[in-house]
Amino acid sequence: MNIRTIAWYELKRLSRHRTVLFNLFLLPMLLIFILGTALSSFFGAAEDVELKPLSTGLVISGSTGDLPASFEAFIENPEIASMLNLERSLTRAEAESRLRSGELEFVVVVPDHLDDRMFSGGSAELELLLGKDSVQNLVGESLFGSYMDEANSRQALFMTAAAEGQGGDSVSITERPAYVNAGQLGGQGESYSAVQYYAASMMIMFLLNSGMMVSSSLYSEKEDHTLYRLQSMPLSGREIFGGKILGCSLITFAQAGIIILGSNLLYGVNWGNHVWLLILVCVLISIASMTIAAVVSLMTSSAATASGIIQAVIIAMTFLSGGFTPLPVDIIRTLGEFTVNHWALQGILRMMLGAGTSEVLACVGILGAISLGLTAAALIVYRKVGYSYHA
Amino acid sequence: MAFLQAQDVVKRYGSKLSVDHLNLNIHEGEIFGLLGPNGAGKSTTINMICGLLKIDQGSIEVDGLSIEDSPLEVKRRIGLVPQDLALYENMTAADNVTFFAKLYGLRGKLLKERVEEALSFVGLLDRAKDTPSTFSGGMKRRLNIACAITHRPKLIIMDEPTVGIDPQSRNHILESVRKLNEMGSTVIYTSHYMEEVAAISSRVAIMDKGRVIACGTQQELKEQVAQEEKILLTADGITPDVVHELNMHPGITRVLHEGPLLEIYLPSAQNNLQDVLFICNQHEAVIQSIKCEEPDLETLFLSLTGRTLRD
Amino acid sequence: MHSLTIALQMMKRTLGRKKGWMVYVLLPCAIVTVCIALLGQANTAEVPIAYINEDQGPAGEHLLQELGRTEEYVMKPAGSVESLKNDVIEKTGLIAFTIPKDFSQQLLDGGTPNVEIYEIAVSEASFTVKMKLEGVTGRIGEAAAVVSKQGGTAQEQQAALKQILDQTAKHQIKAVTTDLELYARPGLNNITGFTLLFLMSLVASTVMLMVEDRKLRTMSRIYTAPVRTYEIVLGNFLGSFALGSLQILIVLLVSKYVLGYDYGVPFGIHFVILAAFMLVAMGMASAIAGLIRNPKNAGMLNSLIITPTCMLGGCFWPLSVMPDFLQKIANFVPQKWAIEAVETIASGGALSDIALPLLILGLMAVILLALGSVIMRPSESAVRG
Repeated sequence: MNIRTIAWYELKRLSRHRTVLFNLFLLPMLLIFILGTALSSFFGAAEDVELKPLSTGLVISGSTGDLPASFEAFIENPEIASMLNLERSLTRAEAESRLRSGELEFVVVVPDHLDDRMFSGGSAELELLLGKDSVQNLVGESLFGSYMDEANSRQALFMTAAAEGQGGDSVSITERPAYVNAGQLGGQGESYSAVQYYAASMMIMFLLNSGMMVSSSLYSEKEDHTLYRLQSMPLSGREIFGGKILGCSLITFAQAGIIILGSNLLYGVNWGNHVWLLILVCVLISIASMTIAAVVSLMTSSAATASGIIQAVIIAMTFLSGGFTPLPVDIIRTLGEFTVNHWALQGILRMMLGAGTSEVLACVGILGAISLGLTAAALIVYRKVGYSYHA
Repeated sequence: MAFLQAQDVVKRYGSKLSVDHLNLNIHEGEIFGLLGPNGAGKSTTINMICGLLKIDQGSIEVDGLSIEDSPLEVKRRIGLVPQDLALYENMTAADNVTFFAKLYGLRGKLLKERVEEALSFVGLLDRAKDTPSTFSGGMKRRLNIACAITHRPKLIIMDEPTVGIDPQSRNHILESVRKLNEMGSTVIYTSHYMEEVAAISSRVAIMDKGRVIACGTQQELKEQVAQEEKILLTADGITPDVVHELNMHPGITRVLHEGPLLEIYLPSAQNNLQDVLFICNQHEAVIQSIKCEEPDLETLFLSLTGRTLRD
Repeated sequence: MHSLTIALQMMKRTLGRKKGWMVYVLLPCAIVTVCIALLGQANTAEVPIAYINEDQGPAGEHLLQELGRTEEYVMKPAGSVESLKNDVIEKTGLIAFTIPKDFSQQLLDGGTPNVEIYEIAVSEASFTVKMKLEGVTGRIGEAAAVVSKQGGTAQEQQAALKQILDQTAKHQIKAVTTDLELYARPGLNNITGFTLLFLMSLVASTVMLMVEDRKLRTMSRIYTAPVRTYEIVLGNFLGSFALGSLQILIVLLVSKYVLGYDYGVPFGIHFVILAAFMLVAMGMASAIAGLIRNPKNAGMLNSLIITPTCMLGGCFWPLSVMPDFLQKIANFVPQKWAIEAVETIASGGALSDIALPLLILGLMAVILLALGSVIMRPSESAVRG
């Protein structure tokens, strides 16, 4: 009974803070939006991405110094031309020095015998000099690299099919049928897009962050001396402590609900059909968040230290579990398996992919075990240290 | 039987003895003043009565119940007004009072009535919907009281309730204490302001260094220092020589000097008043005012400990 | 000078006790250096790719061969589609693809068989893998189209296709890369990004000290002493700056000399860039702390500001892949400029080349610190008490 009263008033106080509302609700939605938009290019909507034109220097090697016709046609093609800022007729020395100074981002050295060799079945090399910007380097490499690969493929065709006199008109690259598609990871053909990965990992991180509320609340009560008053009242210490944690948990649940519903309605993020399991996961994450914050707060002597430590722990866990960006490194992956984030993410991902209940439960089970362990730790610390005013 | 009985209570902090074999008997229905300088052990004693601190030795019983055996029952009978303001700054005054009232078990209609009652009692009913962050110091102290009285406790403990507030609020609070007592609560009132304690208490205990050094009605206590009287003298030109000579006078116990004010403690003011005036004249101190005072608690304390309450 | 006194006092409060060293210096620096160690590994590591090839013909084989040409790709055959999918879900960062049965035959018959790519989260690597797969399959498809025009039995066609593909595999016409090593070490922006992330958290916690002061009214007390406002503010900031510099110093030293990670950036310049960023972070933290009345919520808000600004600033992925309008917004984010400065130097630039980023960081720092110092004055409510 008393726990309910304390929890309810805790909730009331928290919801009065405008900053709390902002922190817990608006900011996560903003973040998920940024993520979704920022990575939209990766998510397949390549038309939205306007790559910076690559400032390229063109060097012709060989005796004649003439640009091979096929290459000329290639760079004149409007699509390609728009992607390049071409500087022609440079000597190699010039090109290299301008590459080093950063004026040019990329240099292509074209052998003047390219066409001859191509049609005669010989070999030819295009030399690519990488510049200072690794991203632009990738662009250059893929652009010219695939050009040569296409030429190579055509040569192979000529060489083997030419005998039959079937040159064949090479179909324009963009008109080719699409052979490569995103596979369905989902069980029942649930569609999945990587936005969901980040939506899930960010929600987990925000729920964990809510633990900071607990920390600040525990400290405030001491500092405002209201803990002193509460302890002079017919309540047990457990009721006080438990009530506060319960109140904070309720806000965290609300946050989870809003993030899930909001991202679903606004950004179309699909959280799967296992409603109850999703709720369970959120509850377990909240428990983990509250207990971590409680343990840290009980054991530290200042609010600043507590919040610093909690923050560090959460960022570390998010990082290790690949929440910011996936890291396929074995050590990181192993360490990540000890984090709350990892198992929560796995559980949610499987739900999003429409996996069977037992699969999801396996992950949720481990998450539950971790949360249980954390709760035990919190209880032990509470027993030992206790939550009371300083005499 | 006494309403509150403390027997040989001891509390240690490390090697320091904060409360040293304290004995107290407080009768039901009285306003009991607990007077003593800072560090005397008043707050520690209060904390033990309320069950906030463990008693190392001895026992405390409230209304026949031991604080150690039945803490919840004892707490239900107590309303504590702590020395440090214990309020939630960002909840309304009404919410503050309601919250604590609920934890004392009040519900429904009774809850609403008592909350209103408490707020109106301390004169804050019109500010019920405002938050303490907008209150003055005095108003906060009054709210501090309101939070402790909704459940009509049998024992109200007020720990230095008037520290740092304006005289008007102070009088209001003292008046409230009297009223609460009239309405049936026993009150323990601690302070280091002698005037307040003297004004409202029926009985007073004086504490120093963890012990009760004197206890009784004000009359009884004054009789203890019937030997001591006080002359209050305001003069210009009081030099250290004057003070020294007064101190050397055999008929004078002690002299306190603060600016133009002299407090002279002596067994008999009548017998030695002339000498005092003579000494002042000799040193060309010009007397502005002179007053002979009956012994008070301050005098008592001084005689018992050699120090003043203000030390 | 009063400012120095105040600064020293703050240093004493944080570093004067053993616990302070642990919390403000050792622990955070340890965390950051561990991250650098892990990340450093991650970026020189290979790209693991799982696959299943159910094709009996030459197309599937050719596809695998072509992909295998890239050194960084570590190709691992999977047992079944189920286990492949499972691995992708479990091991975030793993890319996988399947080549369907009768891939070659279907191509020869003029159909469009599907090579399916599986990934759980996107990354630069998965993007490039996808592009490569598209390129190669497209070319195989073309070759198959030519072969099928020639007619013949299925077997003959497969043999002809194989012939073409084998010839293609010789790569007589190819592009060759010459690496003058002008670019910054790959993943440096990631490492710098994470370092910035942690720096911001560290700075936020030092500023919290100031905020606690404000609440405890010790700051009010200082303000009533015969000390000018600017001296107090300067002193507080100097103290935080000194602490922050110590943290940067330790992180750089440990990662460079103990872990042996080569940033490719001279120590001094690296320190200057990070210190400039730290000033901005201090300004941000104190401005936020000043605006939020309740110091507890300031802590939360800080951590929730840190992640988005780091995202927008390009700490986790390169800016160039973000849409235009986000890139414009990134100009207001200090992380972007700090990362740019580090990358410029790492790819062989000189101090003069990073004049602009440093200037912008400096400007941001000045504005935010000024804002912060005005707002950090003892709050009215605290004074009213």
